[in-house]
Amino acid sequence: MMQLFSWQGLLALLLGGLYGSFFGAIPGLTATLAVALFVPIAFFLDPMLALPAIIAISSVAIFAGDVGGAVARIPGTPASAAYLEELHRLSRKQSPLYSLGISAMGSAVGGIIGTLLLILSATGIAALARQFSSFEYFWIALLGLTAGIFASSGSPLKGFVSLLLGLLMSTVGIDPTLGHPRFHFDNANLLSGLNYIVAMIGLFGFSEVLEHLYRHQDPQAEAKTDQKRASHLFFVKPLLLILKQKWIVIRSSLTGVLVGFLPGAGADIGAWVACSLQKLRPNQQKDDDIVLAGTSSNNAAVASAWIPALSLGLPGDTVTAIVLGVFMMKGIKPGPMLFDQQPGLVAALYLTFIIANVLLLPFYGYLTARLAALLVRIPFRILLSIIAGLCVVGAFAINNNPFDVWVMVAMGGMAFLLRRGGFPLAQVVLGMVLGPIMEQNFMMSAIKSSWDLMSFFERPLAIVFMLLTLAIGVVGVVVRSRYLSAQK
Amino acid sequence: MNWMHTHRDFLSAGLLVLLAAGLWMYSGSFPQLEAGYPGPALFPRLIALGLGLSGLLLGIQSLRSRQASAATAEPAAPAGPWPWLRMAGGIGGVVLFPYLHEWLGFVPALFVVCLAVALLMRVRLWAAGLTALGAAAVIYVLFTQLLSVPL
Repeated sequence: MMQLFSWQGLLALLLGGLYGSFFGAIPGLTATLAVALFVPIAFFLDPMLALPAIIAISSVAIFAGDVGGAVARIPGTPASAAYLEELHRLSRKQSPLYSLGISAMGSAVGGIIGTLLLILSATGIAALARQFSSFEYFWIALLGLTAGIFASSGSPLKGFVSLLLGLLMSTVGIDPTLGHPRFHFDNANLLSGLNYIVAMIGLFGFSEVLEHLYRHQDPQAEAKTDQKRASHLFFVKPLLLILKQKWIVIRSSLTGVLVGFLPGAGADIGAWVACSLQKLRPNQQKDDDIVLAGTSSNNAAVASAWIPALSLGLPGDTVTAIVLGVFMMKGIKPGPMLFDQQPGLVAALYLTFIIANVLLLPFYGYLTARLAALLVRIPFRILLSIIAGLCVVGAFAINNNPFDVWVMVAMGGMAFLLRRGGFPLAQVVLGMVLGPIMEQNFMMSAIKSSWDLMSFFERPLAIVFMLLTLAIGVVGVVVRSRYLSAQK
Repeated sequence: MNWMHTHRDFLSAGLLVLLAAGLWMYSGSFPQLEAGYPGPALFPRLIALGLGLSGLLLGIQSLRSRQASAATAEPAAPAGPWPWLRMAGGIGGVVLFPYLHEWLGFVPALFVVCLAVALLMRVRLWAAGLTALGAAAVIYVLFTQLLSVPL
């Protein structure tokens, strides 16, 4: 805990925030990519430094995703796309400092609400999780996968296909229950399975390089310069708006928390849902309010995505999916026992969320708003070569194995084709993370009950999760059908 | 390319069905448990079933509403000549990295990869060279000196 307040800890937070603001602000770079590229560095850091740095990166990157949207109408992160038009219009009509002020202050308030709920509920969920057996874990994994299908903004069928591809990749290597090697094609490198982090770097990082090589477009922007009364526009006006529209902030933050809590959803979906709800309300079409709704929900979701990650070991979004990989690298087992075995680490994580939202967001928000114009003017094609270098080194450095570089390239190629076909990528990651959990717990449960499949429906908690899975499936299908028919 | 855009769901459907069939057949070589219970093939076969059914559904959907699907989510079109060649160049540079690393050493190999990507993005030679040199040097110092990672 004290390590967080050491000079190394504070430096990790400050550099993490700076790195996150850079990644979020550059169009094409995402919070997930920032965290994925940070993993090779996190691998060699103390967990007390690495995990707070990741929180700072993701919290600031989600906010900074609005910078590109405000000045150039290019969303820095998928979460920013939910209120892109309103944010950009507000920047043009008033000032980028004002629109980014709403974004930073709304993110900070939403993040604090999300953190408070994380602190209050994670221990309770962990206590409940102590009663879980392999049956419950199987249903929770299935619940996460079902929620993941509807978590993308596109076609649920394509989300399902991406999920299945992720599940397929998770079956490469030695079977986790029976020990039989699968899909190794006589290559010893594949016996230990596909490296999760290498796959992530390829899926998100290298596919971005390929996408830009293919499209050959260099996003450029001209920022509106408004340096007069900067602090008034950035801090005072947005805070007055938040006080005036406190119910929008509270409602959207709670929406973000509820969506972010679902395994597989996260900040992107949280922002989309909150903005959709705000737009559905009669006489609530003001740009300020919609930006406030979206931005407060996405950072609330950033915090709440950690609730299932910490208490159940299930990722709430792609960032926490990577974080779970970092936990495993460090020999830390997330789940109910984490709160007993690593209380210092859990407290440090909570505190980091508070620091990130109270101090880092306004600080870096102000800096990035002032520097927004400069930042998005850096030629992306120059940055792209650096990203390519980081992808190569990131994949290679984990095991110093050239094979990992080729796996990374293959993943990048696959992700490029999936993007071209309109298939989401987050679901691939979700499948890779939840696949082994689901398979192992299914096989364990089936073998210990002598393949009596009715045993999956006998325990009360298992039935609750089964009903939740069913409910998410039914509600997802109904809501999506209505949405699609409304679009027609 | 336009044909591929308008038929991309149909193409995806075909690929998915092929993948599912291959997966189903390959999984048949995995052993079964005693008393005939499914073994390591169970999950791969369930995935194959899901992929096959999804492929069929996607194919039917694309045949029913080909125009609508092309209009709703057409990916960004490439600018400039030879988009696939640029991509192949980028992939080739990265695929060759392990060999270059063995032959030239880490910093020169990374320099070549960064330079190749920058040149493929039509960055001027001097700027590409400077960027690649800076990136290779910074990444090397970051990993080997600051983080003590052997490369």
